[in-house]
Amino acid sequence: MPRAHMSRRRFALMAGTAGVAPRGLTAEEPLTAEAIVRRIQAELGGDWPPAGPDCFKAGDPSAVVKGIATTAMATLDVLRQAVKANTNLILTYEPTFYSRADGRTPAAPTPGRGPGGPAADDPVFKAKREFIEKNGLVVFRLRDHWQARKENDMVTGLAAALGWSAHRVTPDDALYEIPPATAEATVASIRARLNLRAGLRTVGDRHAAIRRVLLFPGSMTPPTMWQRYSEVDMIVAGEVREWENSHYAADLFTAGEKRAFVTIGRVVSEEPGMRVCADWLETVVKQVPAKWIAVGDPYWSPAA
Amino acid sequence: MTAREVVELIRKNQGIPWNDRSTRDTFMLGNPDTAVKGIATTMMTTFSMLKRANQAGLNMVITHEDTFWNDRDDTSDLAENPLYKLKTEYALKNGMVVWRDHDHMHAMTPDYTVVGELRSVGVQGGEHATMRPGIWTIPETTLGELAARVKRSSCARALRCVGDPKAEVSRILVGPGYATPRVTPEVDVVIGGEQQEADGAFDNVEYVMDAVSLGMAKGVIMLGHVISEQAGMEDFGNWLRTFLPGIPIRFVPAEEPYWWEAPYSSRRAFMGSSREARRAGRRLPSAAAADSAAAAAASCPGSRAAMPKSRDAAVCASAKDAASPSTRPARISTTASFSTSPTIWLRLAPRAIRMPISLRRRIVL
Repeated sequence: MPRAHMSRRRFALMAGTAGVAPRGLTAEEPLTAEAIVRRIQAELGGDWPPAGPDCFKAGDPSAVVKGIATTAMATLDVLRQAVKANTNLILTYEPTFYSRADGRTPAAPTPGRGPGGPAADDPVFKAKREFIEKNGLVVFRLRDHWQARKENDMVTGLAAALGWSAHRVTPDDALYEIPPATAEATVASIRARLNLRAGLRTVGDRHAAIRRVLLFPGSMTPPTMWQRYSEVDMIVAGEVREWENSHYAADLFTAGEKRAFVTIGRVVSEEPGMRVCADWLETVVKQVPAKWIAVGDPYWSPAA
Repeated sequence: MTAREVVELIRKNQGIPWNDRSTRDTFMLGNPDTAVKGIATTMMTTFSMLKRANQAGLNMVITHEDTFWNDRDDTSDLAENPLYKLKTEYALKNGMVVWRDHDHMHAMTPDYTVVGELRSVGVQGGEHATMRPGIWTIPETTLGELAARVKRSSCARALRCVGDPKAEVSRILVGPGYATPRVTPEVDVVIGGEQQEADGAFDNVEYVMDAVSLGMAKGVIMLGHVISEQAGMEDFGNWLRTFLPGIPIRFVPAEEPYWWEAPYSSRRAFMGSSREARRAGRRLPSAAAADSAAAAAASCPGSRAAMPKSRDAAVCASAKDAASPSTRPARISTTASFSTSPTIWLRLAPRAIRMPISLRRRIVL
């Protein structure tokens, strides 16, 4: 991706011009994707290294923007909806091109395995690239800097989606004290609120009384869980590794602990935070509308 | 014979150069010079599994996955952890020894985790499979039908699928645990254990979602890590018997960690009345109950939840079998293989006939 753009942006930030209205945000100049991204970068602050995940992934950064779409993951279906909604700058939290490399190094992978995303001639990869080009879309990944925001909207957004905003224990933590209910009832309510299917899985005691809940959108590591599971009745995380965190929750259950550990899916856990991002953008980039587009729970299970 | 001597024999028979730098394949708990009374093979040393092994008089555990809730079995952060203390003290107090065989098992020919996984998803002919077993072609079916069959034969409670249930598929690629393979143009369906959902080395979930948008027949079926590698530990135990004839060796399953739950799906077409389905969902016994069933969890991977009156249990393996495991556990797959035609498959699985296969039968989305 265009490292030159990155360097210019970084230069602009370092040169102290970040605080003033960037080019393209005045009435005279066309509002390009690049100008909007510069505005976002200035607003969020921090360093934006070219090697980091947050950069342009596809499309022409100099394209004039009609509207912005935010999403947890820019699937083809999300991109189609973005086109229908007359938006052409897509801000996605997760990759667009099926790996951490995210289209930057489309080297031929080893069949069936190996890092680096799909082969350059992969039909799904090609079709997505062509769709983006044909429709004049620009895709920018906004992950590290959005989740590092001190307001921590990934957490507050998820809490709001669960109807728990009023139950936050302290402003600087992801702890919530919700109206007491059994684990089973709490899980049923989470499933209904987030419209989940097979992506939701629970380990632990279904009869446990749940009051104190830790929210953890995204991917949770074992040390975080070791530190925090014992101080709450329930953790609601995005995803974990089954032989690590789920194993720990299962062992605590065997030890007789009355707790429950819920994973709702990585992308699903990140959706409300990107919804907040769209609301935030409307206050930062007032010239064009911003709209959140949902991905939904990707998983189903046969009824057999 | 001591646990150390058992491990020496395994190393010798595994027939591959030993990597002494592996942080996984080492003694995890106990004194290696303990005299071995019996060996429990298992997918993962869960606390529940450890207790069931001890109650069955098996003091050496050979585990494929971790004991201490992280891939490297690194305990440096755990010294003050109450659960760590409880689990290690239980093992040491009962004179147990835990040794892990992960990296070398996957490097072996055959890789028993894959052999067991292929069998538990109903694929025949995988007895010599390695870590990368290649693509299997099965008679064309729909992803939904395939997923339903796999769910029944593997007994995975928390099985997850991505893709269009109506997609017609026949080329399947299977991988164990976290080594769920990549979906490529050459493959219709990947069956694996688990995988990072996004931002990984490759993201199958998004790839399949996009393929569905393009009308391509692609799918992923994730069994869960425990279920995917569970069955192979039974085969591994059988292999151990070939050079450890004097020692009792039993397969003691790790429990599938997830709840059995059905509230979001209409089970009515499959499970009788919805009232019955609701009750079945509440009948999951507590961990204590599962533990007291000795080496429970049945010969069916992950069926810690013995539900003797539900039809799930009837399909998956009886709790009676589980309470007194034979030294040669029964094979897991009792359903016909995918190499037989769907018609024959229906005939061989009586429960399938009872299920309405009319328009009412559909995959719950």
